[in-house]
Amino acid sequence: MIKIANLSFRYGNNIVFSNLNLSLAPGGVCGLLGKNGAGKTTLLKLMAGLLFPMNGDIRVAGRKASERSVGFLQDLFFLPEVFDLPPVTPLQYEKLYSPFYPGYQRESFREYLRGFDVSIDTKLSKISFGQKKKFLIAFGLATGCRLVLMDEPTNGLDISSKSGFRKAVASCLSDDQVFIIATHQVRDLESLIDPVIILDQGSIIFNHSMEAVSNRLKISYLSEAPEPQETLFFEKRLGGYISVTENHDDMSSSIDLETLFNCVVGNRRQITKIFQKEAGT
Amino acid sequence: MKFDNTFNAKRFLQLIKNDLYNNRFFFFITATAALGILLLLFLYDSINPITSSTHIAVGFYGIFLGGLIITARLFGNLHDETKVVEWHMLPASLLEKFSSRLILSTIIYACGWYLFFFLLSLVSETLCQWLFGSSQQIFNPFNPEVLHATLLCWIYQSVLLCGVVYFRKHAVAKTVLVFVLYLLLLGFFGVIALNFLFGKYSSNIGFRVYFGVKVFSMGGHMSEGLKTFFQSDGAGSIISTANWLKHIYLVYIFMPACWVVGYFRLKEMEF
Repeated sequence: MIKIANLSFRYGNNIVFSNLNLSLAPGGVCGLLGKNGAGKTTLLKLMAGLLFPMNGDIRVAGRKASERSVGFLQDLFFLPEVFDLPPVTPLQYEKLYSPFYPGYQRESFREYLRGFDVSIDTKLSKISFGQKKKFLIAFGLATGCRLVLMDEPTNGLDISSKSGFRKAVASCLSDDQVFIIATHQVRDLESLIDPVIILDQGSIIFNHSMEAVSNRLKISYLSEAPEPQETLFFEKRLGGYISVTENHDDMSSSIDLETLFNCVVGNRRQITKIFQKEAGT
Repeated sequence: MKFDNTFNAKRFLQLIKNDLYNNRFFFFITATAALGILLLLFLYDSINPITSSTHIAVGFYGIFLGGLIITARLFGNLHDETKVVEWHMLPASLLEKFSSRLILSTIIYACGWYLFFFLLSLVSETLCQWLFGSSQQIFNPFNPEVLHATLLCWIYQSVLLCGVVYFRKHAVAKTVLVFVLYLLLLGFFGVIALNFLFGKYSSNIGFRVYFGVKVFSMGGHMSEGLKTFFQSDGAGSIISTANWLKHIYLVYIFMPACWVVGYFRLKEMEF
């Protein structure tokens, strides 16, 4: 679905990506994680053809992103973190913009709006940012695009809307679609994301499925601090400690994305070794 | 199939419909302004009957100001990341997106404005005759002066389009500055050329810039021999050829060149 080969990009003298490679198959909700300034939004914009690479190639379903061809745009929906909507109602918006998407699902749109509790006949200029975001998420999911890029989709959503978002995404994802979600709000999307991609200093330092993660790493809750040499990572939590160790048992453990992220960013070499070793055996 | 990827009439018409809908308040304000102007003319006419040239002037300034504003509205916000992502990510080719806005801001806006103005002047004429027994000249949109003024307006619009697409910040101010600079340079080289050609027979050849019906004009004191030459039939044909060349340059080269520059600037634009 997405092939990024030898991608290089920079803002002025600030190199963001250098020879970045990534390949994503359809059928998953890919979580794009990284610190501030790691290049998550830039990568999404490059995939959407809103930025052009200095070197390398980005293709979505075989189409070059920077050409912004009609077929490419019909296959891609991009939800930016900040956006502006025209002063129309959701129904008017649908009438004006849905004809551009051949796979648009009218019924799904209404269903998502109902789920998000967004009124179909209130002007978009008169609703809150969170409501606007839910409207745009509903529209994006209803377009039927094979690639949906979302930049911080849960920012501004209330607790029930976050749960509604997870349900909507999980119910609409089909085998030929891929959703890429760049976020800092990992707890909001813990049950949804698979695979996990972690960007750090312009490189992809981690790109694995949740199954692989739970098979190879073990996250435990301890009442006392573990010996540093015994763990890959540990930190104090309320009522004890959380630690990440290599999983030597055949039992898989549940994954806490925030802990995984901190562990990967702090132990890049060791984590790479573990996953390479496992992949080799 | 390939052409459909570049230009599809259905998508093109939908884009025009979207822009018309999203700018409905602007069109409403323009129509209200036209109504207000006509009302003033109507009241003025009761005191002093107006001529057709007043209508042409009002029609021209309406299309001129409205045309520039709609061009700035449609193309001026393309550097605003929050507004532009939606437009750029809409599944239509850039040719469709660009040409739909270009046609809306030029042909459709002009036709709409003239039709509305014509209808209003018709109502105004009827009322004038009924109430005051006087007759206004009905606005004729097919008057050659109106068509000439429309072309001139489109030339200015093309400059503004190119400028607001090209410059990221303070686009309108920068466009005006560059355009004035361009006119001054053109005038400067025109004066040099005229001095080179007719310098022996004249004095004080200079130029004046103004933004009315003419872009700029040349002036100076000609010798009697040169005046006689310019009044002769041969000179008349030279002058009409020069005017024809100016027209060809502005309408068929300069204006499309501005559009093409704007189009390619949008094509390479990043956000």
